Amino acid sequence: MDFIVKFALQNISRRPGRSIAVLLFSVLFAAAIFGGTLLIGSMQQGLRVLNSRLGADIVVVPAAAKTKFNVNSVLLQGTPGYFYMERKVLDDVTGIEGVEKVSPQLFLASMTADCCSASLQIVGFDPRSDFAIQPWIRETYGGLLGDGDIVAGSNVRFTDTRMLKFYDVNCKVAAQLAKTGSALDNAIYANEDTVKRLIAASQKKGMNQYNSFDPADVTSAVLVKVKDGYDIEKVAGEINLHVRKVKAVAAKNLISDVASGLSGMSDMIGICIGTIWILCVLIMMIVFTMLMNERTREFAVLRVLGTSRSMLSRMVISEAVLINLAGGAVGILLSFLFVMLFNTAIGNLLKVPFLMPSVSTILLLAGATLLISILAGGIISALSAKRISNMDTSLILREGE
Amino acid sequence: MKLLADNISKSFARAGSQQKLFSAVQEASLLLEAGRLIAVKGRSGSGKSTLLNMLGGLLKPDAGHVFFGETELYTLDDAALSRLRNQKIGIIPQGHTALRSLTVLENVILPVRLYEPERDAAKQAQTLLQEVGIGELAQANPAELSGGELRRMAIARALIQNPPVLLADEPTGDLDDENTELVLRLLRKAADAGTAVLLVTHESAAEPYADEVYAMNAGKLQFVL
Ligand SMILES: Nc1ncnc2c1ncn2[C@@H]1O[C@H](COP(=O)(O)OP(=O)(O)OP(=O)(O)O)[C@@H](O)[C@H]1O
Ligand SMILES: [Mg+2]
Repeated sequence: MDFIVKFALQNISRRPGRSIAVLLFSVLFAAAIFGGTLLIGSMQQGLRVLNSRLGADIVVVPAAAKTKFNVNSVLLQGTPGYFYMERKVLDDVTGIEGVEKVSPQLFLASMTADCCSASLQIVGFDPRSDFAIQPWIRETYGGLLGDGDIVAGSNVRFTDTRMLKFYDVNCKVAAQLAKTGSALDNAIYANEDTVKRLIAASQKKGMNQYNSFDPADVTSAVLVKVKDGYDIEKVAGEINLHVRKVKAVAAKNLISDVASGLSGMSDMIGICIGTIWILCVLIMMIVFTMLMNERTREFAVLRVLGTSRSMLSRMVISEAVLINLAGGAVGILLSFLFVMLFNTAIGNLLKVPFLMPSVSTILLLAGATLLISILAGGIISALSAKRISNMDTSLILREGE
Repeated sequence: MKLLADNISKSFARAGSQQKLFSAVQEASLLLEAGRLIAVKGRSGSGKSTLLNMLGGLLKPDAGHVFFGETELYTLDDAALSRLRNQKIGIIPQGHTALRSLTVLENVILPVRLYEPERDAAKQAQTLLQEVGIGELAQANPAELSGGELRRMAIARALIQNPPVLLADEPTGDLDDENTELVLRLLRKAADAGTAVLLVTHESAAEPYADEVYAMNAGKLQFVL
């Protein structure tokens, strides 16, 4: 090993107090960059996946649902909830100009009770007309969903027997969807007939708020695909105008509620990262300058013993780079563990879809963070080193005897 | 090997009176030769350290030249001058100069490691420490050493490269009589072994050990005996 590096390591390990002080700031520095960027990246990734998973241009729900439930939170944030409207809405919506495809969805919420395995949002779709859910199911499951088969969101827990029970009806988990980072992960999907059976079962048990209807006559939401060349907002407006007792919402508005919350959040996190960055750089500069001043006599002795200016600079920079390398690695690891362990909790807390980016993206980010840490340490120490090596050795030696 | 100071002068700007330069050393000439110990005595502030630093390649004179053999020191670039200092000039600086993150032995070996990291100088360093009487402190931390012991460590460190020239700046400052004698005897021994030694001191205890004695008086160097 190069003497300079060896000497730097020796200086670091023999003065643990001093090294740890600098290390702490470099850990903080790296954690702020890496953790913060990972947070923002995860939110963006979550939004991207959610956006494509929703798959519809317009969502039509009962007008009453708008007041009773936050439609947004049922559709996107997966709070278990249900509402119904007459099934003929489907035909009414189909008749609106500009509508290309429609597909009904039937909702039910299971309960935390003996009859059910867990409290989940249950979404029934019509296999023939569905264009929003099946493309996603097909990514993990090639077969056809039979009666009583369900597809579970990635957060749904089930045992080896792959059976889940809802209102005492046993359902078989045929497949599990990939993670979206949103509450869609907490839902289960089945064909409409299965969900109708479940609704009937819940009514029979007296566990459904709506006991008066025949499940075959209702639907909870209608997903609409708009023909090319038509303005989605205008078509939604037409639906609102011509179909009674429903509310049509453009999906991008649903998402944009989430998205604008998210961009506000990203901005805030960005500002936090920036502030921590600047503070860390300033503190590191001050700490370094102080440490270097404390060590001027040591450097002067090195010069007397024949260390050239450039060797001295390399010693100082090596020390800083080594510490920042270690600190950067620790900071990255800690913030990664934090985000990984708590990503569900963070998503819930921030109320945004939250999905960690791919491994390669994370590795790239880690590499970039490490590089920035090393560069920052290197540049800050290079400034100190320049000042030190330009100092007059004989002058330093006269001081502080 | 000879180290020659030829009419060297150094002035400093004194804070407060920016206009007036303070003359620390005026046209001093001095010749250090192999096997001879030259003592320069003088009061505090008379310019002794300034002279020694100029001879050691640490401080460029305003006027005059310093020759190491045929080489004029201050025509060398920093890298070359540093390397020459490392290999040819052993310097015992004024005050305490141990590196605190190294053990006593590592301090002594440090000059070797700078340019020859592969060379194992531990044995040689241990022998030197033995010679200066602190062999048992090799593994100690410099913080555990007394002033006299630190000074002896600095001497061992200055000798590790077997330099032809040894410059000692008040190596006996604040030492008791016994330690002073011990250090002076070590320097004499080095001179007897063929080193050119310059000893700067404000005490007269050094005179019996010196081949020549100079006095530094307000920047002027005078031959005494
Ligand atoms: N870098 C400097 N800047 C300004 N003045 C200096 C500088 N170096 C030395 N001097 C002045 O030059 C004079 C000689 O200093 P020097 O250190 O050579 O004295 P000295 O004889 O070694 O004293 P001492 O016995 O106390 O070590 C002093 O008055 C000192 O104040
Ligand atoms: Mg002095």
